[in-house]
Amino acid sequence: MTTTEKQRQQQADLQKKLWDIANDLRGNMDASEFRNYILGLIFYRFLSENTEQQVEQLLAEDNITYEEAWQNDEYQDVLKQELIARIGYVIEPQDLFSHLVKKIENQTFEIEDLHRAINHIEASTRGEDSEDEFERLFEDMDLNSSRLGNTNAERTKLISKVMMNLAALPFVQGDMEIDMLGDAYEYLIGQFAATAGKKAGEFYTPQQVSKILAKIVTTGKKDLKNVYDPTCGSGSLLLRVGREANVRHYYGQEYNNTTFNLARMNMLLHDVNYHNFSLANGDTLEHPAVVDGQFEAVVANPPYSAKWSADPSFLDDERFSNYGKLAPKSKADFAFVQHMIYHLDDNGKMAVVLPHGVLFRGAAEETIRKYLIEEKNYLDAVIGLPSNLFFGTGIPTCILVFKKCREQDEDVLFIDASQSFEKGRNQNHLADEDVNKIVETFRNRETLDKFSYVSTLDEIRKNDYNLNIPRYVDTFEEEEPVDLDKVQQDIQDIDQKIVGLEEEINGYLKELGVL
Amino acid sequence: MSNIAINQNNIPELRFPEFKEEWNIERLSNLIDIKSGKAYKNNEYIKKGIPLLQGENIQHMKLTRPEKYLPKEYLNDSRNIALNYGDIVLGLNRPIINGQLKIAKVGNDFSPALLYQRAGKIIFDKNLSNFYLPLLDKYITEFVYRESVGSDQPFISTTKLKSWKIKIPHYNEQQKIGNFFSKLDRQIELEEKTLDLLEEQKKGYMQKIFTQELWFKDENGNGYPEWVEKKIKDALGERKERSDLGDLLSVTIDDGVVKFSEVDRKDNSSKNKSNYKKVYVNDIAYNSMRMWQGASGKSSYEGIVSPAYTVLHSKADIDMDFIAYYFKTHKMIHTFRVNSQGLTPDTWNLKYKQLKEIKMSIPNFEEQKKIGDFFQKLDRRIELQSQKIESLKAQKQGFLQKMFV
Repeated sequence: MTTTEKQRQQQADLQKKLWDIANDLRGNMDASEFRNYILGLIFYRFLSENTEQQVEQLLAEDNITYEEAWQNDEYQDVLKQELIARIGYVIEPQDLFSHLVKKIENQTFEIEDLHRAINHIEASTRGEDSEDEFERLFEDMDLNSSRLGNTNAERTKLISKVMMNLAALPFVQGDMEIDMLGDAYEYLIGQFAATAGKKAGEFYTPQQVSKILAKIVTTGKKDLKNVYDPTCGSGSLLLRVGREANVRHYYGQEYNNTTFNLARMNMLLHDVNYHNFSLANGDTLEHPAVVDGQFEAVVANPPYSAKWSADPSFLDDERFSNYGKLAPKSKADFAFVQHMIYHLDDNGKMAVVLPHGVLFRGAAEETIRKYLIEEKNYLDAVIGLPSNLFFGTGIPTCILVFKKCREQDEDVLFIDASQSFEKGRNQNHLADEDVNKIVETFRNRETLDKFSYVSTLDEIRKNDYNLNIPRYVDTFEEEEPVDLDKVQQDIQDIDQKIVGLEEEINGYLKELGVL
Repeated sequence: MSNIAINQNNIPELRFPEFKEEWNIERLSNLIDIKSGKAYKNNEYIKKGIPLLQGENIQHMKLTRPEKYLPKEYLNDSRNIALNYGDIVLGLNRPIINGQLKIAKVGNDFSPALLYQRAGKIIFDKNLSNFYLPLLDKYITEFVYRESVGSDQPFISTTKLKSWKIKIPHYNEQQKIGNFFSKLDRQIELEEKTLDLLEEQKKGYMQKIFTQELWFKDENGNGYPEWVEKKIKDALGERKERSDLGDLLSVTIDDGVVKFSEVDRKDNSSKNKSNYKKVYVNDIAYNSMRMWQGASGKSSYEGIVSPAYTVLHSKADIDMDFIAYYFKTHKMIHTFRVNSQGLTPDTWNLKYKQLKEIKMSIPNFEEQKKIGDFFQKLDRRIELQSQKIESLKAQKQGFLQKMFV
């Protein structure tokens, strides 16, 4: 086996085992509820082992264990300082995952031990630079919930079982890379999303869609000063951009509190140092966390046609003020676009997933569309995706790409990838070839038969700024032409046969006395 | 079983004059045998091989193409259900559909084939194939009507069927009746083929006339003036008149505008029809949700349609027959799809607002009328052909009733 094959194998194993544990133990609990426990515990184990690795390096030459060092005030101070500077938090020896596992084995573990351990983690960051990244990170893991059991003993028993199962898995060892754990974590998020049904679309963008967005915004770049996702969910789209180019800082905001916690864990699990990401919890449109930053890459998969206040006071908000009209109350799609454009750097690229309606809906949305195309000329490409790609919603979506300084500013590229997919049981999937074809076509900016079209701005004008993809990408299939001469001949031949046959039949009819 | 009274006169009502003898009563099992097909598992099917004929492939006097195939070797293992040219097959489940028995002769295109369970192969004297087909059609139909009364899921029990008694003439008369019916069947087949060809021919003219590869000439033998590009709004206006009075009309993809009372659809129309749209004779009505599939047509009636439809009236010098056919061309339907708006095909919608901006090339009024009239005549010819086929089928049914006892 080559290294990558081996890694892939290991990763697949890890993912399967994690999902099995989750399924075995969740009992009567809703997938979305149990998710918080299993993801929280994986994260806790990761933080513990990360601490142990750092301590091992720090104490490498001192010939002393972590526990012994902790007993010594001088050592303790230095360790604390170093750990905070390096990883942003401290886990004391008696709070380590491995220590609690020992207690479970010795049957001295109480659920309170875990409670205390995770509280200590958060407490260790208080007053430090990392405070924001760790604040209330574990709050979704409610260890007092009766869902885990009615008594302390029952809760202790269930959590012990989960921890022992997790302890049995290899995490970051030998040739297993940290990304694998991060990916396994994301895989779980995806699996939970897939089983959670309707609400799931909110916190999970399918990897292949993320990949397209990431490849688009990193086109021609190896290094990005920063990337911003105003509706970042669990952060997978941001991390995906980090895979296509070196990202120096990640910015994001997420409305849902639990998902926001997942995003922070996801960052850390993917080895993004707490210095290098700034995520915020809250409503991006009403209470933006990012107010004046400009970003080299802006990506998002915002909630489709969400409601927002569309309060007239927004007309004074610089994000929306130039367009003349606000996105309608019942469809915030363009409000997100406007917010993103406001934060897009002049040399930056932006890609956003939206429902098809943004392409052709009238009224205020038409005004905004027209402004973006005619006044600003920011629209660079429109990519139609197949329907039924997302969890919990079947509607077809599209990707809009915007740039402030366009290289080819006389035209707009349209791609119709609506037929490029593999059919799945509940969902359609984009295959790697589909992703590559879309990205290649985008990068080459070429017209391909029945797939893409480079349209002049004039054509868009003639279509009254209606961007409905079939108007540009011609998918017309010629009808099979009829050979009129042959048909005529056939009709005559048959007529002749009928004449002969009718004579014969008439012969019979006369015999029968019917004719 | 005694489905035939012994002392009944065993002579058919209509008969070739040279035959005088009474028909004999026979148990079907003395004349034929029936073998039921086999069940196969999903993993036995292959992509290309021997077609597996299933009950649903058997229609009245017709077979449809099977979707499953089995390896060639299976023919050796299952000789008694292997089908060859001239075999008669019978659908055993829900054997009668639309009053017609699922019985058919195996043609060259399905020979050899294998037979799936709940379908039967009839084994009989193949020299009398032409006789047995109408004979069995008549008697098995009768059998089913009598034997499956009261059952939700009627099916033919082959054992019961074989013990059924029928009446049958002597060999020579069998042959003559068989030949006669084979001619009738052949006649129907040819007329049906003509119908297909006429439809194909219309399609061909639709292709060539609207793209101006073929064109008409005026009475002096000269071509008409060039076609002029117009927006639809210059040719057709939207009729917005509302009314709750008059016949309720409906637009279908195949038959255009029809009276609702004449179609077999559930009436979902609202009680309060005050919002319904008025349609006048010669207007074109279309279903804006289905325009991309060609759901439009010219109305021969005055009446009202659901508010979901759009009604178009002609402006000066526009022949609505011409437009109605134009709207059914492959290219136009594609244009309608491109201009429809909506998130998914279920919600694609083409309102007058979008429709009116679509461009089309239009000839002068005289040529429009000629084209419209030409296609009307073709349609009329097709309709007459269908009627002829129906009459021939009725005629055959009459002979079946009278020429068998």
